[in-house]
Amino acid sequence: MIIENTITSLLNFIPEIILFIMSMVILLAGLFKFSSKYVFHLAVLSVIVAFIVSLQNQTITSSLLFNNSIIKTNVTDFFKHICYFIFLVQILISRNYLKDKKIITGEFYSLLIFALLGCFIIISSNNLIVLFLGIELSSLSLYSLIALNRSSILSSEAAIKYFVLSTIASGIILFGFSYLYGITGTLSISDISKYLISYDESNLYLFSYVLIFIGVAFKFAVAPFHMWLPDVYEGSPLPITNFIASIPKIAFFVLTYRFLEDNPIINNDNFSKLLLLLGIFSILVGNLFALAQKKIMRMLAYSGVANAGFIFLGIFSAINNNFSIAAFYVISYAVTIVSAISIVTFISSKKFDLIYINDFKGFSSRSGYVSILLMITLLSTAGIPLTIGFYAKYLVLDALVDRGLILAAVVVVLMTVIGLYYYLRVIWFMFFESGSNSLINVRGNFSLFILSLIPASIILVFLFPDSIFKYVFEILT
Amino acid sequence: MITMSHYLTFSALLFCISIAGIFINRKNILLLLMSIELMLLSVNTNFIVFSHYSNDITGQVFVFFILAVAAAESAIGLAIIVSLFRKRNSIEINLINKLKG
Repeated sequence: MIIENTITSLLNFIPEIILFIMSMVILLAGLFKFSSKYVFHLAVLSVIVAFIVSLQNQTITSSLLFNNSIIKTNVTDFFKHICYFIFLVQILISRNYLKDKKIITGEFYSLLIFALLGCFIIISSNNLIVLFLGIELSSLSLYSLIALNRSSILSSEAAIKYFVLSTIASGIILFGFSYLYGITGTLSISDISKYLISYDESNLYLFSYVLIFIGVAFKFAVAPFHMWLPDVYEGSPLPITNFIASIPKIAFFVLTYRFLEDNPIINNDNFSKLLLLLGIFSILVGNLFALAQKKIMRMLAYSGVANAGFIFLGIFSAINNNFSIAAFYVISYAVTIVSAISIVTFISSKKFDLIYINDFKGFSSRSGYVSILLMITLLSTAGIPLTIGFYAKYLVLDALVDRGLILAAVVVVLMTVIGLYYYLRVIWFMFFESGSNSLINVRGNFSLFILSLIPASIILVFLFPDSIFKYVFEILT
Repeated sequence: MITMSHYLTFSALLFCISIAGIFINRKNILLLLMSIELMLLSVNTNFIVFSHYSNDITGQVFVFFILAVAAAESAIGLAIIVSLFRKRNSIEINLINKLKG
């Protein structure tokens, strides 16, 4: 671990600094008539430049920046690159949707980049203060982004719900932080997770970890804490839903990884039971509630609850510090859900918002190509072979069986089979029902190209799993 | 004599009151904002107590950050409530029920 001085720290932090400065520039550019047309181009340009710079100075040895408050390892780099890729797909797809809704403004892109920056700070923080500021930076930007569509009554409602529950989550996480600080006397995460607790402190240490993980469960929308997710998915503008569904999940996964890495608490019976119960309960609730949904976004939200349960099971099975299963699951889920929501964003047009699942009836006669893309994506979320989602689910189940939890594995498999129903229903509607809706948008060659990237990679990774899985395995063990 | 555990009990009580305030309250959104503030203040009390008893200043630095962020948070919360009020002409919680499956 190299400890860098301020100058080299700044040099290592250039991508984030670029994002920060450019979001200010975009905010300014949105104010004037001559430049407000170019906010989209500026946003894409700044993210691409930051991505390239970040690819250029990848770390070989891990280093601590800014007086040990920021950590830069190949793990953080890898997850940031995934985030950059997802974010680029999202903003490239969402342009027409935003134009139709008239929210393609400077402050939209500025806040969106701030939210991304907040997630990056969560990923790379090594200090509780910095971590807290990162969490708040991303969630404060998201509150205002959800409420940005002021003409819609649903948006403000979704915003107030997200606001209240997300602040409760931050409060609970902070309460856990305060006890951690009290026991260990330090705010540095790498010191906290290596802190040797004496016997009479161990209960309080466990208690603070439980508080932090309840807060993280709120942010992941794991089952008893999932109430906000369907409403927020439904009420917020689709590009924001797309963001909330993917990038914060990656960020909070890296946070859990940072807290549990090299930490004996993962082997603690009570703590791992908490993770297991939350995971299984979440899979039950998510799949059963998703069956009853009529709206596509609510269905995806409940499927997100079920998938968050899988992520928790992956973290649960990370005994011996092997987080690669959970990491692989998070990445595959985030990429897949982005593809699904991007397709819904793409086909919603000015005159027609695609809300109900019934609207997909006869969609294949309107555009066979897009419906095949959506089919691949949904099959991957369901975990059918020939897609990356199959490997992800298989690895989690394999780890469960390895730990002798046969009953849990059986329940999970049963729930996944039940879950197949609601994914296949959409596919059935698209291919085997008639009633094509001519208002659905299927135009735009560039968007179609971007949309095909993720389904293509979903299948390619299934055929050549070594490519990505070996790398994830290498850096996370 | 007031010991450290008294302070910790006090802040834990504050935390519980704020959680209860959020979940029991069925009437007014502004009360939600107040409960959230109370929750962050209980965290602050905790930090100050720990920092005082361990002679370490970083906990009090954290408190300043929390105070600043709490101010920003309630500003955004109030802004959202204003935009809700413009559509609904009321900020009762019972009326926030447009989003349903």
